[in-house]
Amino acid sequence: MPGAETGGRSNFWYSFDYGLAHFVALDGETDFAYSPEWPFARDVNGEGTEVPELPTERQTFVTDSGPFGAINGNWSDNNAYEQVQWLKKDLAAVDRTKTPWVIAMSHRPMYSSEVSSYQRNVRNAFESILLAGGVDAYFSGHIHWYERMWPIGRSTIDTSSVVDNTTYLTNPGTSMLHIVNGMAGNIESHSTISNSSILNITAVLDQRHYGFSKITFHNESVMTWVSPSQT
Amino acid sequence: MKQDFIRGVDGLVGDELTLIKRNNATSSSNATSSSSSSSGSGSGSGSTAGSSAPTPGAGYEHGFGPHAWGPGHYTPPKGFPKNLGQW
Repeated sequence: MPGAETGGRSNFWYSFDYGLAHFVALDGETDFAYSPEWPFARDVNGEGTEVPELPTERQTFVTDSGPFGAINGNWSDNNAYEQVQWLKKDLAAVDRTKTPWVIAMSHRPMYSSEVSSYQRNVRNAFESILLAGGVDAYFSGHIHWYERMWPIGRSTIDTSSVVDNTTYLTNPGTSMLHIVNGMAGNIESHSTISNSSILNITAVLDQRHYGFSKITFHNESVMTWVSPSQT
Repeated sequence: MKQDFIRGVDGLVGDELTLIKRNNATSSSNATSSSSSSSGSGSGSGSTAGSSAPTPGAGYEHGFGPHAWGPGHYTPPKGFPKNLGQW
């Protein structure tokens, strides 16, 4: 992975250009505040013992939770993390005349009808930066199904960007397209929703099929997404 | 906006989405022009997910849902080893 080439960190966070798109890969497991769900000290010491200190090498080993980059300040401050600082620089350097589309991707989703507290932590770390950087879409996995959200930003559905059920408009600074693309096929089979109801943030949810998705950038204005591929 | 929940339906055609740059919505391809004709349907105010927006969920263990693997979560399909070891 082009971590070093893009100033990122190995295969943890990096970016690359492909055709009309700039892709940014983020580490949704480590290297942001409370990643992915609570601080390092709590991993080691247990709940209620979250001491405000940087993780030691030993703690990193024990928790298997990074950090893999530097923390230039307090661990609870997202802005202190090398990954977050890198993301800001990377997005600022995008040449939109070459790559008018910017796509971010990471393992963990920011939004899903399968709600968990890690989603809030991922949002707190990255969402405002991605919105400010004019990122068009955020693709994730983790949950073993296919789920497309309505255009959403800061936990608010952006209805102004919904043309119809299968057509969205981009809205830089306000919302992004979010898709959980986690149905590739796993020996654990599919996820099944544990909530009694599906949230209104979800436009499409497929808990049945395996497959993969295909994204096509037709030009600087139109992108299409097809998923899952049926067999 | 119509939600589309797909559960246990065979022969289903997968999802398709067209994303159009807002600033170019009136000057793009056929797909663009046909879509942008109805782009004013939204009020622009948005609807807040509010209480239904993601909040700390129950039943999760270290960030992994009950669907995920890990101690106590893994039910292997027939033919796969029961113990996948540490991950």
